[in-house]
Amino acid sequence: MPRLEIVFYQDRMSFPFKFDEDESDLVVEFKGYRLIEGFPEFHYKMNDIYVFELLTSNKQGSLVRRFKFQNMIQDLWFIHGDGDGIGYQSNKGIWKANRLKLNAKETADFTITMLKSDL
Amino acid sequence: MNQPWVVCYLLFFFIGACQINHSIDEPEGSYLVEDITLPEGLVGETGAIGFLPDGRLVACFLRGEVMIYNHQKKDWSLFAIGLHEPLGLLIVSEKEMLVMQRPELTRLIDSDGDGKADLFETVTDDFGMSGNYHEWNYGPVQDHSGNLLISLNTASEYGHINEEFRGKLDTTLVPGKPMQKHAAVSYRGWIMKIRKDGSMEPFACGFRSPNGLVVDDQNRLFATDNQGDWVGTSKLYEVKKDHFYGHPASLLWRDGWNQGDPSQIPVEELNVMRTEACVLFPHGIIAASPTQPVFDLTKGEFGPFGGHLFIGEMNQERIVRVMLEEVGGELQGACLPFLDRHGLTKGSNRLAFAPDGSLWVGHAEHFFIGGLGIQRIKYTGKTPMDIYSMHLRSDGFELTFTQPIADTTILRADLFQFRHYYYTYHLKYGSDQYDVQEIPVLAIDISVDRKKLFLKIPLIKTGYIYELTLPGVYSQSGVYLENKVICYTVNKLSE
Repeated sequence: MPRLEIVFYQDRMSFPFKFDEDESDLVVEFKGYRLIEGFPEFHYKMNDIYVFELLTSNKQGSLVRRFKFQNMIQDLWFIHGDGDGIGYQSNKGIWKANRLKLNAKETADFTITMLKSDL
Repeated sequence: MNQPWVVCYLLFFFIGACQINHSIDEPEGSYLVEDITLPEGLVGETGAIGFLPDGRLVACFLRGEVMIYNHQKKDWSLFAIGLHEPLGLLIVSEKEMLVMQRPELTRLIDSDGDGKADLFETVTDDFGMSGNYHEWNYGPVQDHSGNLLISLNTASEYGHINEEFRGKLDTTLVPGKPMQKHAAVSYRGWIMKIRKDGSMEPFACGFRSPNGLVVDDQNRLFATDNQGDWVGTSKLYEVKKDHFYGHPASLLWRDGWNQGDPSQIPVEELNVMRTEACVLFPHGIIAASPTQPVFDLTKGEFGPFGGHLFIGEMNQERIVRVMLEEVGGELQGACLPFLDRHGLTKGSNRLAFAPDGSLWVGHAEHFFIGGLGIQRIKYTGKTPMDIYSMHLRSDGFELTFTQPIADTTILRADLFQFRHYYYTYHLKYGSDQYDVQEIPVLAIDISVDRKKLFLKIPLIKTGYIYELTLPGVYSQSGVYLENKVICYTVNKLSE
């Protein structure tokens, strides 16, 4: 079988978002995607909240994930794995180790940038 | 019988007086097969085809492309890319199409009108996916109420199951001892119904590899299935809600199932549970791997077989024709080759009639016997010399031909070679033919117009295939039968 590409990153986390820090009964439903100038914007629901996630890249070759959560009234947590060789940055919210906390207003439009780190 | 008939009792002593004139012309083509040139670089593994109302072809290819083809301009354009093994297509409009992928049924929408899909909406992904290579998905077809129907292949005992899977998991039948296809994740081996509101319900089960669905003008659903474990020979089912069609793996996902490993249920019990196919395709004689069925609704544009089913076949350079009739309240019927070779390649995976009445065939191989590319079959207007229909009567079969048969033909008993046999239902891969017996033709009647023959035979038995070979029948104009074998599946007897 032909090998298409080298695997440079593999997400070993389960779903990275939670409404509460210790939430366990989240229902996520994939709804599809839209191509915007060739880039995919994934659509899904977290419980009854619609989420839009646009994947692009920047000049440094990092993966840029732009999120839009609709009609949020609560805080949101983004949690990434440790030691995955990726550095995470965001334009909004507050980081606590590998956890990013965003308030409801910030979730309307924020970006997480994933860059290859030297870990 | 509305036709006046001439009774011709068999006169075996006439045989010697009725030698065939070997200078008679062999069949000339009533159908032309045209190769469609694909864009350079495209791998012609055709997963689905269909037509826009304006006559342009839409084709899905297994590397993930959806392409649109203008046959007049010989021009291809890309509608979508990046799909996962698309094996089914239902066209809503030039801006909206449903595509069955491995992970989901997807609605492709060209929302900005630039001729390319930009929105890919998940219609349903509410079924299991284990990573097993054999978990192909087919459809959708639409019933008369607007519901969609899809079919989900079983998984292979020679494949693996990923650590990460989707749906419910039940490894009762894994790793496949004894070796058989399994349904480790939910609804493998089922046909599912998707309602207009997007919810999905299990519709029928017991399928092994149902690579072909169609709904007829009476809202009846049909599905093909492939020979293998629990499938003695390939079949065409009329699929009814909540029925079980024989492959037990899918029973794991029947609501309330509590009987453990379904393949351990005595075969006699499974046999009582199952609904038999309306047509069996004798393996290697008619088909080894049937694919998509399509009804000829072209009103004569494709020749004289209006209302008949045409079905693809992967393993031979062949399209199969099926004719159905209702006997004892159930559908059954006959199958025969329609087109053998004549430039047709193997791997006839997908069929679709164009608005102009031509039949398009998309080929695939997908690591098995098959072919590549797309071909177009066009009726030339020259009536083929062929069997038009075969009907069961209480004491024989009535054949109708597309052309009057030659005067000498009916007098030769050896021109009508009947035999019967049956295939058994068991776990083993495929089935031998059992109780194979030559069946003598006792008498022959012919209609005045010489297009109908009645062949009287001894006691007809249910559960048997009656295979008729007509090696030397030819028309009054001297054209031999295009296809010389036809197989009728007798489930019910005619009164």
